[in-house]
Amino acid sequence: MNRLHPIAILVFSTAVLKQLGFVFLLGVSNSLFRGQWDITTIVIGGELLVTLAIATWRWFFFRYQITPDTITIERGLFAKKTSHIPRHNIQTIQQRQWFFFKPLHVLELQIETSGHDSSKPEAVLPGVPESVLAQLSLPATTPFSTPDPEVRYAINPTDLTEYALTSLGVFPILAAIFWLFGRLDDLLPKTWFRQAQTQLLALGVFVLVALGILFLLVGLLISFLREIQRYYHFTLQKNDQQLVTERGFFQRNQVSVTTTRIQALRLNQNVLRQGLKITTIQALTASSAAADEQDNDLVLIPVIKTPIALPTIKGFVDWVPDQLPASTSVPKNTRWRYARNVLVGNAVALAVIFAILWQAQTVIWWVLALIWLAIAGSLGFYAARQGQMGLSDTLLVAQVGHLFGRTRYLIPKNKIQALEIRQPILLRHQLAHVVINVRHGNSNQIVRVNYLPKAFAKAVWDWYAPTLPNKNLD
Amino acid sequence: MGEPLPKRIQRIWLISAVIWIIVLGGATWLISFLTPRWHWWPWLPTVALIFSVIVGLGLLVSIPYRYRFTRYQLSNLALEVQSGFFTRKFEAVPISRIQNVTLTAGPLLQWQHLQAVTIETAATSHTIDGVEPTVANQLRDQLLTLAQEARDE
Repeated sequence: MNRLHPIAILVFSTAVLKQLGFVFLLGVSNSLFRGQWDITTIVIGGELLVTLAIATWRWFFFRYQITPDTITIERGLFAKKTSHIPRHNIQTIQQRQWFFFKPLHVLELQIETSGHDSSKPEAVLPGVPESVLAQLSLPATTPFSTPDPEVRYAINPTDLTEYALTSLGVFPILAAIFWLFGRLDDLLPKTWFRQAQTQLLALGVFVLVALGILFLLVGLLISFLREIQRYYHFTLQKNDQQLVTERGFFQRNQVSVTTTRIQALRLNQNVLRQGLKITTIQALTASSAAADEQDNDLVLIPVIKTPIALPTIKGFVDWVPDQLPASTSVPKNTRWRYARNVLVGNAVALAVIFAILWQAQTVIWWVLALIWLAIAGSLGFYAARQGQMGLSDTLLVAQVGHLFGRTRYLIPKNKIQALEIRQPILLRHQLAHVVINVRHGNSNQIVRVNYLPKAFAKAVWDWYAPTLPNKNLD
Repeated sequence: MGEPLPKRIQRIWLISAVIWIIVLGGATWLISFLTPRWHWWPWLPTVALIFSVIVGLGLLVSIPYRYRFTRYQLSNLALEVQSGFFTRKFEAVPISRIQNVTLTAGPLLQWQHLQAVTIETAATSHTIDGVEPTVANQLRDQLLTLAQEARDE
């Protein structure tokens, strides 16, 4: 049994700190209020010591062994836990290497099987020497390391810039900034805040608008840099049925997956990227190792011009067809049903909010509600226009519209776990919903296109379950 | 087409409908009890009552229709489960995707000597609400044998 590299203590420490972080906040806010900096120093110093102690403890009792057949991990002293992972059950392997790991020739390994029980990877080895990769017969985390891969794709810097610029990630960041601003109210002394408020009000609308724009710009910059760092020098390689993606600036992150483990492909576009004709290609796998904090999906190609998306990915995943099968769209005369469904849901929610706030007299609320409903309704129409599905002998292609974007799924027939046709009783003679279930991570990815022509639903049924005649769909 | 469930399943649906009606009635009573005391909107009890009556009646009236539509069908390659009333649901599961089959019986099903059959794939699960225990065992064995064959191929 081996111990991890001591640098792993640092990784363990950050995990412990995440749990104890609130003690820091308490200490700092206490000092801001009362000026008791000496106590803060003691609190923070103590916390750091405790963290270091716990992390060292964990590191000391963490041992692992890698043989060609199994990976064994032993943890803890009082609550001892030993796990064994058979090599052939491994679905995905992820390697991460922070920039400060590199000179030490150390990396972090995350290993996933398709086990059902937790959303965490089965094995996380936060600091192993690069040499273990050879034992696992994996390529190393240095760019361009593999001498000649069968196929290779590297991200195009212009595409990446376009991609980062069109990220809608600015909205969550803006929300976070506003949330922080709201929190300041609680953290800072009331007198400060009131002073600041009166000053702001004195400066008037102009400054407020400028402040808003400033926030927006900062948010945009953060999201831009975040995307660039995430997909910096992204590459995708194929070696012997293994797909390997590699990316990241501060932390190089490498994921390998066997092509036969891929459950489906997903082509994503938000509205802006639809306009620029660029697409993201992701793979759905039966494990969540591909996951990082933000996205749960293995990104095969972060950004590519839509027209060359299919031919490019075909080089890596051999069941991708040259040309997509013809699709059946949601009929024009039924698109309003999508909008209606969205509107009904939102109208009920708004009615509840109105009833609770009791603001029915104020005009401004009605205007806001109407604007909201107009946006919701048009998003419904947008989703209806995107909805379509098509079949070839071995492949199902579905396109689904969603909030500010659309997604196209390519699903091999033998990866569809179950098919569901739903018929609203009043529409049973004309239309039907088609629901496809695919394994994704540790759960189910539902691909659902509503209000397709009944004849098409029947065609899907006969395609998927030819041995089960279904007269209800005739 | 497809196999219907045993007729006795309707009794179970009836009893669960009655339980639902008792729950809804209780909630309606609670609302009308609290409304004057906690100064809620005066129309709330009426709305709650209408809602409970509609849902309760719907549950009761739909039982024979639901029965007619709840079916299952098994071929050598796939299993179909039909259910639902307001929205009819046809589920198709290829035998080769089946990971496990579970038989369960809650107190109501035990009282009527029936068993529910749940089929799980890697992503979904599908339930036949209740069949005779002999049929349940037979279904389970058949599904598992077929699944084994499909995997060996």
